[in-house]
Amino acid sequence: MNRARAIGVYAGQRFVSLVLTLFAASVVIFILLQIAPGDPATYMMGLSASSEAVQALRDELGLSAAPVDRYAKWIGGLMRGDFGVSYTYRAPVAGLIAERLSVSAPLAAFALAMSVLLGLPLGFVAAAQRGRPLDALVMTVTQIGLAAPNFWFAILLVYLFSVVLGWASAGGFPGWDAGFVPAMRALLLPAFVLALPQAAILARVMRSALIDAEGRNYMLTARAKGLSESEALWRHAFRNALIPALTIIGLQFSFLVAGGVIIENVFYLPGLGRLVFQAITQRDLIVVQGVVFILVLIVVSVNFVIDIGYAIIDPRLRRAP
Amino acid sequence: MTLLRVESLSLNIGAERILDEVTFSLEPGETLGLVGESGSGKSMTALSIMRLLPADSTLSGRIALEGEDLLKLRPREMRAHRGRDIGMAFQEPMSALNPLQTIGGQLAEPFEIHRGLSRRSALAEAGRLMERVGLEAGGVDAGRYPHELSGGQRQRAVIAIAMALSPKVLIADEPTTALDAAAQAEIVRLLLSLTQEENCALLFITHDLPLIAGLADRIAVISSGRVVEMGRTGEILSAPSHPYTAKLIDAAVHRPPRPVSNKSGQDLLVASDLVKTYRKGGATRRALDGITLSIREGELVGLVGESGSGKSTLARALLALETLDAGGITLGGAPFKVGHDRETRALRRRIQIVFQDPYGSFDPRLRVWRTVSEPMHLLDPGPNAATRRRAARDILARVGLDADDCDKYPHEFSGGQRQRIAIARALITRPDIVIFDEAVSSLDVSTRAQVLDLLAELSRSMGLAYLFISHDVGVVRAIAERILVMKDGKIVDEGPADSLFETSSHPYTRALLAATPSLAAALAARGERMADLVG
Amino acid sequence: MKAAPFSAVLGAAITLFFIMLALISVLWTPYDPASFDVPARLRAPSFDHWFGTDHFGRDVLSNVMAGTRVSIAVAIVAVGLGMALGAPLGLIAAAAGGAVDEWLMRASDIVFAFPALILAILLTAALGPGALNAIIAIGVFNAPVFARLVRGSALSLWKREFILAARAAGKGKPRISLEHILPNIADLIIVQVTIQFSLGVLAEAGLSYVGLGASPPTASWGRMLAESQTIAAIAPWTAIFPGLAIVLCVLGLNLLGDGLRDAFDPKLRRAR
Repeated sequence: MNRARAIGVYAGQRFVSLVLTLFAASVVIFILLQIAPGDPATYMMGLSASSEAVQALRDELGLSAAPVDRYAKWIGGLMRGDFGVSYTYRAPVAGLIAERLSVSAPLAAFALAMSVLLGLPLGFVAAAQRGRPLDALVMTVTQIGLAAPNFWFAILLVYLFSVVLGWASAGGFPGWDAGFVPAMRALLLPAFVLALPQAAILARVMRSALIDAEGRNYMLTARAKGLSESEALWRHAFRNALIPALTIIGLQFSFLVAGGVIIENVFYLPGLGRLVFQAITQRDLIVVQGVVFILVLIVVSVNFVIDIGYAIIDPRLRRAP
Repeated sequence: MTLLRVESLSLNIGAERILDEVTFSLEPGETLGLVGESGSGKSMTALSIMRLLPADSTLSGRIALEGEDLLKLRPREMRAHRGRDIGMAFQEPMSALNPLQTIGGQLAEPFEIHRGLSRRSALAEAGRLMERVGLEAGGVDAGRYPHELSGGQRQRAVIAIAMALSPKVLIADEPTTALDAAAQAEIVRLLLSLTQEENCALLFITHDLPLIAGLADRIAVISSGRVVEMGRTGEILSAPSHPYTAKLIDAAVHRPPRPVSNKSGQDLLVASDLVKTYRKGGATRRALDGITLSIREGELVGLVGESGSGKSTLARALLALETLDAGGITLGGAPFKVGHDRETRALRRRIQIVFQDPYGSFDPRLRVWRTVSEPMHLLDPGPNAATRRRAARDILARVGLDADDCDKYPHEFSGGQRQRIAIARALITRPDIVIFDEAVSSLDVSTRAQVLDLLAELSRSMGLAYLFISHDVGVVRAIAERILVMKDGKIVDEGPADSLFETSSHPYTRALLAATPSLAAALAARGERMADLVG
Repeated sequence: MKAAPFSAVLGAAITLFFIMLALISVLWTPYDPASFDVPARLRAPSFDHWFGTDHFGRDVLSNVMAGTRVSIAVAIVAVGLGMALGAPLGLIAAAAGGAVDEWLMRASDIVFAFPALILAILLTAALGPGALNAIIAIGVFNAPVFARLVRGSALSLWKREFILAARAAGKGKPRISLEHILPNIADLIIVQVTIQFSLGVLAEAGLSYVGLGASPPTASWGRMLAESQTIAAIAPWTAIFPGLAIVLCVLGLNLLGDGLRDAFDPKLRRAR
């Protein structure tokens, strides 16, 4: 079908740009960590180690090679799924990341879903009730949601649940082996905290996009056909308002991933965030490199999916092949 | 029985009085032209009938549809009338259609809302509708999106939505304003044939007197929220009783006195074989395809072409603001190219431009004298601020504004005054030639007539040459002595303004004239019809 | 001009209040924010210690006041840096077009590919923790925000007829950029500065929360929250007050930004 093909061509173009961005990002990551002070080998051997021993370790870790060769080795490995070997864990970085990703990825997805399911309906209700008390309430609550750092929310919620309400400790992760329900329960609060500011932004964007759409002539056409205000809002304005909403979801996903890294610390979740902070303090730079690359990959991929979403919603973006 | 009767309709939006005791009526099957200039309240009258006004508006009076007062209906009851008994087609068809929905889907909606049809059968109805309004014949299928259609096709779709359920009244608000002459003529034909087939009354809202003269049974003239005159079209146009109507008619047939042309003048601006190609998404478009023209000193040249013919690209090219793929321009014999060197700047002083949009052509943050004196930057040496301000005051007075206006900001002026400011800016360096790119297109007829008079007088007294670019045959004929016809990046025809359209054998020139409504022609046609009836 | 809405005035007042608080804290705080007073540790809010004390007996109010200084300083310098870097690039990209534009926008795509704080984390990992590095990290993230904003609005201005008129008047692109483009987008930049400023306060708090911001003994809201985490159960005030300070400060900036945006809205301006 013509439409599917047009979307396919568009997706292909976006994919090329995704790969180029990832490549450039990998160079940036590598260069930044090259200028990082502190030699991992010295750090690992301790201050008392002989320079011969340190040099031996450097050779073993592959740190003696020229930077260009090391980059080539790293990027070559990445393409095969080989992220190198952690200096401190002495284990493949890929395995470490995969293990932690099984916590971080579901957390991010859970939070994203929650923010969309909370934010879009709230924005719609506020727009439909524009100027009435419910709208004012949504606007006030979201204004506060925007201003509060989510790790502070997290601390307060942990305090509320474990101390005031006396529920079992909020925090920690039982692992997926403990079963789906306990694992998801452990992720519920962190995901909620992560979703709150995103939902607040989304609700506000949705509201103003709907109000903007209401002023357009096609809404007059729709009303002139005999649609009621709320029907016209739903049938015509909503889809148009989804375009800015999608943009915001894409932009904010980056904040959500970053927020996740911090929130994992509050809830003692064994995710990528904990891994990367440990690795930074231990100068385990190959792990930092790997984790940051994975996070970039996630953000870029989600934005790729959102670009495809645009093409599905907005026919003007689909170029005739 | 009267179909639609509007009685003493008054409308306030906020504290502002928009409509003041508007009264008119519409008989079944007739066409009523509601004529007024911008801001007269004509569109608000239409929205009042539909009850689609902004939230802070208050209406009083009576709008009776077959005796039922629409203003007394509950929202739900009013909705049952909208789209079913009263259809409305809006101007600007691009914004009147939902950009994200297929044409078929948007045409199907009235059937779903009022007839309770399923999506599937509504789409089938939409298909039949597309056939009736000639969209199918134009190769448009139901799966197309608005941005894939031409302006005329979009307007067909808008009309189709309004006519979907064969309403008793169709309100068309400036349905052809955004279209060029050929598309306008087709849309008018479509509107008349559809309303005649359905015996639907048509309320045609327009600012265009020559257009409405050819199609309305009766005319109501509206000014500042009041209907100042109403009656049969022929009678009103031949014997207007209200001075405002008389002024409108005068303005529509107005021709400024033409200056005595200087036949012996030397060639001033010469363009030879200009080529400019644009690439967009793999496709290339030739905006200029071998344009050759020359304008003599003091000569008034008109250039007619429809939208997309490359007119504006040509204007930019002649100002040396556009790099060309091929061809060259000389101004007073010297080559004129894109650049900032001393020679180019000296040439730029001799050629200036006035744009269409009186809102977009000024920096909103600059006082008028700064905007007007901006081209003095081209003088060598550049004059100081005091000199520039004095020059701006002089030239503002010359174009009919108050010299003290020079310290105001652009937004404090009306559209006509802004065009005078734009003219002042173009004249401040005492150029030899000025290009007008649709410079009077957005003005109301009466303002337009005044601006045309001013331009004619300026050319006469200052010996200026003009290149007057417009899509409007009437305007170009009024001001120019020689006319060029442009189509698809080429000059296809050329001749003296007085005779070109009557004598040309070029089919495009003839089509342009045929598609341009003329008040005189409309009146003549009416006169014959009246004579037939009498005799 | 119509009267500013209540929320905008409130936002301006809150912002002013925090700036004053930061200035006052330079000269005076109730207690020395850094000095330990172990016998007076974990005191609940009282007349002596309005916001209570932490586990080392440090006065929370004094630390909140001193923390304002760091937050505002980091945010101002970082956003200033981002704007000074980004805005000229955006102007140049819009004026030059073509390959220059293409490359500048690609570069900003790459910065945006990094999850917001992760870039900061990476930079501080490379440069080490500290207020200066936090500033650089936040500033780098801000630059493409301003570059894109300026480029986008400048591009639409370049299509306007008054710019064409300025070109017909023989003015070159750099001069038009400064004389016509910049003044016409200044209001957008100011609004964006307020928005980025509030994001900067949040980012600074986040960075110092994870230990990558200003290092001790400099007081900072984020680190106060980090330290409060283990004692929140017994001394909730150590978590509540620094958090409230962040919320209030960011809220004030956001309200101010919204108010400015409404005041500058061209639609409203035309109606005036």
